[in-house]
Amino acid sequence: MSRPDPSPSPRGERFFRRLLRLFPAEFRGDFGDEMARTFRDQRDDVAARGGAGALLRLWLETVWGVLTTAPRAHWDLLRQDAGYGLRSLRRNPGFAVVAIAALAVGIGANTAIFSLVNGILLRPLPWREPERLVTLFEHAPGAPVEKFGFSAPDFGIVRESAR
Amino acid sequence: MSRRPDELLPLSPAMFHVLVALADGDTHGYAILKEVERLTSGKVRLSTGTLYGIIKRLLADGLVREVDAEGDERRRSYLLTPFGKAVARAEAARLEATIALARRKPLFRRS
Repeated sequence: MSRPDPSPSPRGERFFRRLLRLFPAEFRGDFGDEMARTFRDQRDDVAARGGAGALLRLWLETVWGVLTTAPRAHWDLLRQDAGYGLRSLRRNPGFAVVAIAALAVGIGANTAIFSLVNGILLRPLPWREPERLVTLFEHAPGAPVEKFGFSAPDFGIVRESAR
Repeated sequence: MSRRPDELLPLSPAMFHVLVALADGDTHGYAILKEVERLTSGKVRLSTGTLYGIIKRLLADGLVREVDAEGDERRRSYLLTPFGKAVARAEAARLEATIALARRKPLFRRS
């Protein structure tokens, strides 16, 4: 739909082109060049008639216009894609079932793996300086087991002697 | 499948202004902006982003179509389709009917 504009691109136009990146790529492809031409005409006209104040007002209106229109363009595109997807699923119910099942399994597996990784690797232990934690065992020569846990009184003795 | 013009009503004020600006024939983007500003005595100034957002919707709904601008084939102009003209007329009639309703009340009567 769009045809390239061979005219040189001054700084203002480059900034305008950057602003246009806020629009979806499809919108830019359809209207980007045309919008740049329109803005250039508008800017030249305002600069010739109104001076610096009018030019500043034009820039403010233009930036505001892009900031308020671009989200709408994204939303329209999303709605259009979602509508197309839903219509496709309705036309092929078998495919819809397989797609939904694949999504459910994928999301479930990802959630389970993340829960494990988060619990084991990512989330820190709920104490200060968890890297200083140690595990203590008691060892008694001749006992039937090589090591065993502390009784509460033994633990108190170890804690006192560690201070 | 033929659509009824009133299915698209009400139009936003900006969209209606663009349709009115296109009423005289094919017009390119900047000329539309200037015509809207002229018709509204400067009260409505559309930005480039707003204008092309509206044009995208008008194209998608079949109210306007693209044509090459006269004297510059790189530039595009927009032309009202017969359906677009019907929608513009329907919106004008809707606005007239709304105003007529209001005029029944003393508050809105012309003195």
